[in-house]
This record gives sequence, structure tokens and C-alpha cells, in this order.
Amino acid sequence: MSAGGDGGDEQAVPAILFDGRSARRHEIAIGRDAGDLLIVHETGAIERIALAALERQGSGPWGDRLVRPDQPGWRLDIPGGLPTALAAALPAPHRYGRWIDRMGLGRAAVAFAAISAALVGVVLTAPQWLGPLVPLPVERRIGEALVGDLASATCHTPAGDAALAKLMASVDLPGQAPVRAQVLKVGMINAAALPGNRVVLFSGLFDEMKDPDAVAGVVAHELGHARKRHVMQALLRELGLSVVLAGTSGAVPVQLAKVTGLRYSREAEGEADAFARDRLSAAAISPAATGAFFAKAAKEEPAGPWMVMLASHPASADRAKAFGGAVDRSRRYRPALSPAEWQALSRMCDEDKRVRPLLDF
Amino acid sequence: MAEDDGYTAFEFEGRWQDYAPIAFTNLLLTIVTLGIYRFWGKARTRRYLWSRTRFIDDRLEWMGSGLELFKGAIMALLLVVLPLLLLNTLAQSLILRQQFLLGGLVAFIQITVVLLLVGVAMFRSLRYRLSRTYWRGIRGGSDDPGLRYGWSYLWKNTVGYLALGLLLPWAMVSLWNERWNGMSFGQYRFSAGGQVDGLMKRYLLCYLAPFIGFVGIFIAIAVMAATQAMSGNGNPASPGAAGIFVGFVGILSFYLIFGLVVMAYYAKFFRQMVDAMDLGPLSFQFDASTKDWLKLLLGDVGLVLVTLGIGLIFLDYRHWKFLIDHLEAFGEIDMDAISQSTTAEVRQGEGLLDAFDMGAL
Ligand SMILES: [Zn+2]
Repeated sequence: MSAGGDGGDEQAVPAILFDGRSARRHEIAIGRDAGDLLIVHETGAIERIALAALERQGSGPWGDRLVRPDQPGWRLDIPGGLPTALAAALPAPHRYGRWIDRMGLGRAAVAFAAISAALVGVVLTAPQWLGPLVPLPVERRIGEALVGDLASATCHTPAGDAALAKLMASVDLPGQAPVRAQVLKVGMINAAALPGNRVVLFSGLFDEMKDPDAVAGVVAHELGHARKRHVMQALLRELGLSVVLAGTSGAVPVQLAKVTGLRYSREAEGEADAFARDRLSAAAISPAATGAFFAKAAKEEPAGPWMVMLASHPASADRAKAFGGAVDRSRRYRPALSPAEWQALSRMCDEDKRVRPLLDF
Repeated sequence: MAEDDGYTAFEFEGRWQDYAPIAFTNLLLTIVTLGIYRFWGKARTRRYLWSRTRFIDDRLEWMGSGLELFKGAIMALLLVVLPLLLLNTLAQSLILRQQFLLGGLVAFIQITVVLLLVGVAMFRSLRYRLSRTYWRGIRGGSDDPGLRYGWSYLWKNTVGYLALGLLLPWAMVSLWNERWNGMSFGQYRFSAGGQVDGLMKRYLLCYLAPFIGFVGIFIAIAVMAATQAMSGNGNPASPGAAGIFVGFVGILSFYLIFGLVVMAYYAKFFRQMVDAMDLGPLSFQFDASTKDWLKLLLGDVGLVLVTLGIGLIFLDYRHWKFLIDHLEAFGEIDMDAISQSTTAEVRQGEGLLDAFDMGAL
């Protein structure tokens, strides 16, 4: 039987049709006439559908399958398979997705891998030159939004503030936008550089460090982070990684992101240490006390190559060596602060009765 | 339509050997696209699983696309996750500024919004999956956008927890019913009339398990202390090692027993809920016992461990097979009388649920 008997160019083939209007199953026959699919209904009525309106779907136990994107639910199953002429006239079914089908799985996988690697590379390296391009006022506003001004936890006494200002001025680069320093009432031995040219010292530091020269070394290190724009670089990197890796939704590379983040920090830490040694030397402050501080810390931290890989700061032993080695025996150093100034600075948080301790995180 | 001669209305005809190429290419493409392909991968997986699932005399069809899942995820990211992150940042910075009351308020609003959205997301993802599921050319869906369900989810869970957790079974049952009563397939609306009766005994077992566990551990410690005291000072090393071993076994068996009672509760909950569901002339039944769920879970764990994690890509397959193997339907339906769903077509996928990282099953 020729389909419809009116110029159909091949044998009619049995098929099953669901029309998307009811769940009724229609036993029909199909054929092809030029650019149309011919459907011979049970009643004998003939329906024509342009081949362009049809889409081929994956084959399976049901045979071959045609659907109409403009008519959801309409479905034509050909248990014996599409006649070759019809199959040739229709685009192949989608398999992996439009782009990948066009390129082929192997080539698509290589191309995607290359693009992904390039993207991650850009995100890891771009912050290094992009960070310094962000204007300081913008960085300051970001810092404000993230941590606020921390005013209520900042310790103040007139003499302590003066000592801090002197310490900052002696180790900072001359002629640059000012860096604001604060001593926070927190019982942790730590210091940090914050977005927007800010350096904070935690009051716990003064319980541990008995020498103003060591505090000068720490302050100079944090100043290094600020002056080298490490803070903005770190912020941009974290932001970029979280955007690029958003697709994984925590599946694999969160740990990866953490580790690379730490490795990057280590480079920045080395840079900040070098800055600190430079500035201490320019201020004629001995790096010996800072070295001794790290030497003491080295005894308390677990050793081994793994710790060095994972820690954000370079191993304390290496830092102790670097700072100790920077001591110039032929040179005359001066103390970073006079005993009275040191007293005022290190006891500032005990003397300020208005200050409220910051929450420990 | 189901008779008792081994014929079952729902049957899964898939083979893992046929699914493996899909699973492995999905994994490859997901990795090289930094996770973005997983939306297309999910669509491919479902297309396979649905197409190998027979209901009465026709296989299901998954008509959802990866693109719409991707769009849904992007929308959820922009409209939900980003605002929530901003809210979170706001709350943290308020607390840093010692504005505890305001910070707490913002955090409270944040939790409320998250709970509300999780509810909306659960409703909408079910609605999406039904609207993309075709059988004999007929699909399901809902005209309810799910906001009302979100509020129910919020207050019913809150009440459930506030009543010392004792009303949680009630919350789960009533939410299940509310969710399914909002759904339809073809012209038929689902009717879910699950009851709390019969669940409380198993729930109380879960509820009391931690207390029983603590008492057990306490007794074990007491017995050990007593035996140690009686044996006097014999070999000083062996009682310590034995103690650690007994403690380890105790904690492990506590977790196993707790997991088992939770599973027993959930198995009964699931059976009871499905058994109380109707769709027009059809009624449903689910017959997986606690033992079946346990076998599923142990199988999952074993598969993942033995394959060093690769088995993860087969879990969707295993869970779907489990669901269909245990699902049964009864009743007489007139295929010609089922007409197409008139519910609105959903244009984007279950992005919101995806954003909250919740599974489909
Ligand atoms: Zn540093």
C-alpha cells in the first residue's frame, strides 16, 4: 500500500500515536511525501505534518520515536524503526546536548577541559594585578560592610594611641595614604590586615610579646599586606573562585579551593615578611626580637612537610631563620619604643575601662 | 489494573549495564565543565530511568531539559541565594558592631525566610517533576505556585519542634498530604489522606533512643569501672585498651541502632503515606519494609566504598529502581477518558531545591 495512495514515495509503516489530548492509543500507519510526514489514521483520514515540525528522540525498546516540540505530549512510536528515507530526512536525536553532539564527545570534553582550566587560571592569577587597581575608597567601603569600624572593641588611652602612632610611623612607607591601626580587646595572639588600609592588633598579643621590637615586626608584616594590596587580592580571589566553582555546589573542589587559597596566602605572607624586614631595617629596629618570637612559636607547632603545605603562614622555623639572619651585627639599632611608650601601648586595653571585648570567633 | 498473578502495574525494566555509559559520560562532562553539565546530566539520567519504567502498558517519558534545570538554578542563585548571603553578611556585621538585638533579628528573619523557601522549593520541585512526566502523552502538574505550602511548612515544622519534637510526625504527615493534594495528573487530582495513627510507636522509639543509649553507655561505664576495681591493679595496659574498645563498639552500635529505628519509622511513614493516596480511579501501594530500606542503604554504602566513590553515580539509578520495584497501583482506568492536564506549564526546573542542595527522593 502506498501511503495515502497519492504519490507517497514509500511503503506505509505501522506506528503508535498518542496525540497529547487524551491517553488514547492510536494504531496508525506513517509514510513520507516530500517534506511531509503522512499519518494514516484508524478512520482512514490522512494527516500531513511538515518534517521540520518534528524532532527525533532517542531510540529504545519502543523502537524509534518522533515528537512535536510545539505540541507537548504528542508522540509517535515506530516499533519497527523509522524507514531509512524518513530517518535520513530528520536530524539525529540529541544525546549529550546540542553543542556536544555537534562537536563529538571526545572533542567537546577536551575543549571544555581547556576552557575550565583557563578560567580557573584566570581566577587564580587575575586578582594579583586586578587587586591593586581597585581604588582604596572602594576597598574601604567593602571593609566597612564586612566588619564595621569595630569602634566599641578598640582600646584607647592618650598615651597608648600616641605610642601606636609612633610605632606605625616608624615602620610604614613614607608619603603614602595613611593606614589606620587599632588595638582590639580580644584574647587571641594575632594581628590582621583588614580591607581598606587597616591593621588590627589583638590585645592577647601583648600578653605573649614582651618586646616592642617584636610588635614592630608584626605591625610591619601586616602593613606589608596592606601596602602590597594583598587584602583586595585575597577578596577577589575568593569571590572569583566561589563564582567559578558555583556549578559544583560543594561537590568536589571546595577542599581544592581551600588548599589553593592557602598556597596563595603563603606567597603573600612571604612578601609581607620581606616588606617587614625592609621596613625594620629602614627604621633601625632590630629584627632579632621578631626572629626570637618565631623561634619560640616554632617549638610549639607541629612539624612535617604536610603542615608547611597546609599552613597559611610559612613555617615559623623558616621565618625565625629569615628574621634572625637579617640582623646586622655591625649596625646600631634603636628600640622601637621607649619603656614608657611600651608600657602605655601594652597596657592600653587594661587601662581603657570603656572598651568591650570582641566576640571570639 | 493490577491482578495478583505476578503482574505489576509499575515495573522498572532498566539494566545498569545500559545506564553505565550515561553515568560515566555525565561524570566526565560534569568534571570538565566545572559542574555546569550536571543539569544536562540529570536530564539524561531521568530520560533513561523514566523511559525504562512501565506503568500498565506504556513507559513513562521525561520531557524536561538540562537547559531549564540550568535556568532554574541561575534564577534561584540570583533571587534567593544571593539575597540570603547578603542578609547573612548583614547579620554578621551587625553582631561584630555589638548590635546584638538587631543582628539577632536579622538572623531570625533569615532563618524564617530559609524555612519558607525550603517549603516552596519542595512543592515546586514536585510540581515540576510531575509536569515533565508524561505517560501515554498525558502529563501532571499543579496550578498552585506553592507559597501557601511554604507557610505551612514553616509553621507546622515550628509547632512540631516546639512541642518537644513530639508533633513532628503530625507535621510530616500533614505536609505530605498538603503537598500531594495540590498535585494532579491528567484531569485527575491526587488525593492524599495519610494518618498519623500507627506512626507514633516507632517515632517514640526514635525519640527515646538517645536517652536509652545514654543510659546504656552509663551502665557500660559503671560495669567497666566495677570490674576494673575488682580485678585490682593487674596489667595496667589491658583495661585501658579494653575500655576504648568497648566504648568504640558502644558508640558504633548506638549509631547503628539509632539509624535502624529512624529507618523503621521512615519505612512505615512512607508506606502509610503512599497507601493512602488515590488518583481518580487508581489507588497506590508501597511495600518496602524496614529490611528493604536497610538493604538499599547498605547496598549504597557498600557500592560507594568498594568502588572508591565512583559508585556514587549509580545511586540515582538504584533509588529509582527501589521506588518503582516497591510501588504498586490498583484500579480500573478507561484510557480514552483520561484527558490532558490543564495546569500551567512550568518553564524552569527545580533550581530552588537544587540551591538548597536537597535530593530528589
Ligand atoms: Zn600575614
